[in-house]
Amino acid sequence: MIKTINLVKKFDRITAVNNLNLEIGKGEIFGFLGPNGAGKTTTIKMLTGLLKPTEGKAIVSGFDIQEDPIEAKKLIGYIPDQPFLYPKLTGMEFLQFAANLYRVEDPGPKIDRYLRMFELIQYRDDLIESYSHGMCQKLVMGACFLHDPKVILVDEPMVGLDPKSIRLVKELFRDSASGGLTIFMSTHTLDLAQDICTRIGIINNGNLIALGTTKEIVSMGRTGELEDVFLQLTKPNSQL
Amino acid sequence: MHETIELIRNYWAGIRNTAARISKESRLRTYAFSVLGLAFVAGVYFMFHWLLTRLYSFEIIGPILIEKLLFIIFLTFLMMLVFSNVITAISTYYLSNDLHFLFSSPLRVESIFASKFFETVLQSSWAVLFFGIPVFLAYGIILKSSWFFYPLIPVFLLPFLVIPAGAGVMLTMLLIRVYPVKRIKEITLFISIALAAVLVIYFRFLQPERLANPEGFSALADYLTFLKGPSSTYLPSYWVSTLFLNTIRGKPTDMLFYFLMLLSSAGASYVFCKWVAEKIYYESWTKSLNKVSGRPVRFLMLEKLLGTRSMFNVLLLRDLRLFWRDVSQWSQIFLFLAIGVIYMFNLKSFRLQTSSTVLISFINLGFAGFVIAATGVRFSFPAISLEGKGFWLLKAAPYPMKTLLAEKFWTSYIPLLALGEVLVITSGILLKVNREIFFTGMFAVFLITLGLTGLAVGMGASYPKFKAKNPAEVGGSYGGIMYMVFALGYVGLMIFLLDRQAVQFLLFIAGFKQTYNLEAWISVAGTLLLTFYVTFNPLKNGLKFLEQYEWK
Ligand SMILES: Nc1ncnc2c1ncn2[C@@H]1O[C@H](COP(=O)(O)OP(=O)(O)OP(=O)(O)O)[C@@H](O)[C@H]1O
Ligand SMILES: [Mg+2]
Repeated sequence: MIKTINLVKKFDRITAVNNLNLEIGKGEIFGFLGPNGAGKTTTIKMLTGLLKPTEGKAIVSGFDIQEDPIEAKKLIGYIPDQPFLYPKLTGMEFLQFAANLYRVEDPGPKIDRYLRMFELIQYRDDLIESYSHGMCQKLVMGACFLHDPKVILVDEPMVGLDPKSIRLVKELFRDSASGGLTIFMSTHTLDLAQDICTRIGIINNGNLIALGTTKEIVSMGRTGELEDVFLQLTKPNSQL
Repeated sequence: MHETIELIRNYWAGIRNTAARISKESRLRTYAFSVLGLAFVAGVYFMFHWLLTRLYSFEIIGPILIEKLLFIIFLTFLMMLVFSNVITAISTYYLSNDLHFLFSSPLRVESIFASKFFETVLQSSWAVLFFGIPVFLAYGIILKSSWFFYPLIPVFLLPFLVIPAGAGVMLTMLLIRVYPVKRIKEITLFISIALAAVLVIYFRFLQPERLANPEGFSALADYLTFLKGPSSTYLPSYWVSTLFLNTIRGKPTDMLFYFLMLLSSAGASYVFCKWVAEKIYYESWTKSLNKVSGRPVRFLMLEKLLGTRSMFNVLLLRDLRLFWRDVSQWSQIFLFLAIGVIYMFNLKSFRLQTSSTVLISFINLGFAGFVIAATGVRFSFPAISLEGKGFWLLKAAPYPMKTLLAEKFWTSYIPLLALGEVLVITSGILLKVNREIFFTGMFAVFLITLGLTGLAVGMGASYPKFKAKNPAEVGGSYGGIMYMVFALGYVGLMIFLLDRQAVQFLLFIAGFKQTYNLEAWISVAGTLLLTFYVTFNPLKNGLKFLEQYEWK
């Protein structure tokens, strides 16, 4: 469902992503790990079409995101790391707007379902400017599921969420993935990755340094903890 | 004290960095603004030099008039300063981003208060200095003061600036205890814009151009004489103006008295404000963090009317909501209403002075074009930039940017066209122009608005500023200035092309006339071609730019 071919992104002097080759199949939950500034956000933005690759290609659910952006974007749900929304719309209005952007037919019941699921229903008519960070995060998450995307690209899904919501999102991700949704998520929460991801890739300084099923990656270390593997791999000049 | 100085140094470093970045990012803008600023200062200086010379030439009352004028100027400054300190204090003391950090650090509240006080005085007073310095220089020169007056100006002004700052900050802290900070900000914003509009209209109705002839001038003299003497001896504005005048005349004893008055009041104002701050600042700041969750206006009718049939309607509904819920957006309309009123007023007084209606009508058309262009820089040019940090949503959505641009275009064009047509029609009636000119005007405004809207929305898309905090910042950017340059050039060219020749052709088309000549035909074709180009080319470039735009 997601395929990157020699994907490169350079900013003025920095090579943020270097020659990335990934292939992620239907129904997978792919965890994209790496230290700060490794290139995770940059990769996700290239997959959504917000950034243009310097070289290489990104193909999402069969469409090249640069050649066929509209078709590709119809099938993508994107949750950015900093969900900036319109402060002067209400939560309800925002969801309606998001649904309309993706031309969802009769979005009412779905909106209602996600508002209830994320416990935003009693705030739906309040302006977003009065929402907390976690509430905004949940709102965007709801918005991105409205159009039944085939691929979800999510940058740091759990930042700012309370334990109950984290549990909820985990279940939502698992259920949707078993229903055929592909999820590509970047995260620093290694427990989460170990818990729900089927496959994991680790990126450091723009280079993919490890790729495999969660089991494979975890077994690279001695303790059976993803954390140890991660810290080992991303140590400067280290080999396992 | 030590902490305060450290904080102020920090603030200063921030300003320096910003200034360095701006001047690096856009040389042109820095130069343009420096030149404009200097021109303004020089302009104010020469205007006052002239005014004071004239007033001074009145026998016996001349010197008294000049004194009174100074009292009035300082009184106006004082009132403006209190108000602008309230507005500034809301952001420096309550909305500024660094407050979270400052309050969580082990700094004492007094230090935070003191450094913020410094910021507030600086931010709220620069405009007064900008306007005041040339005025004071003119006073010194006309009244032939000795050299020591000039270095003393800042020394005298400083305590004068601190007094209203203390009052303003205190007032803000008390207000915030009662009302939510967002409301206060909206209300003060609204009041200041309404006030600006009223002031501008008032100034226009005073007819400053009358001063150019002797009768008008003696009317001003009468007015000043008529004003009661400076009875408000308890106001700092009285002390500072007396201080200025005594210094200019070199009367050291009186100087000292008034200077001490100013100094002690400034001290008292600061100390009292600090005392209030110690009691309530921290508490009111915590309170200001509470978010207001007022239920907004729903626009149910509009929702039904527009529906979600097309993407265009969806975007339109969103934009209308955002516009009406943001006071800083719609309240600007007052300013444009004020401009409209002044415009009509100008025409009336203009008509009395010239006889050629045709000439006036063409000047009038240029004027209308200018008003539309200026409105465009405030409303249409920032249209795309106002998507702001939420632009990612549209960029990630499967919707062609074309629809977005089209929506921005039409939401700009319709109101601008209405504004332009109202201007030409009313002015046509006021000027009693003939049928030919009346219709040419309407036709020209139709075209000019089309071109200007395309130019504004298109260039706004090519030079977006998604991180700008308000539309004024977008309009003042490099792209905004370039837009204004092109817009004025376009209006000029259109008027040139629409000369009387074109009128004939239009009348021929409309069936009012039997013949027309080739020149007329060419000039009409020229306006159409030019407008077509000016409308579509910028939009095309803007669309390309937005499609390629990288959301970093
Ligand atoms: N707009 C930009 N301009 C220049 N450099 C950038 C830009 N965006 C990112 N970079 C650089 O690209 C590199 C990768 O950044 P990216 O945001 O992808 O990291 P990340 O893995 O998401 O980090 P984090 O875990 O902190 O979110 C960094 O070195 C960063 O400095
Ligand atoms: Mg990131």
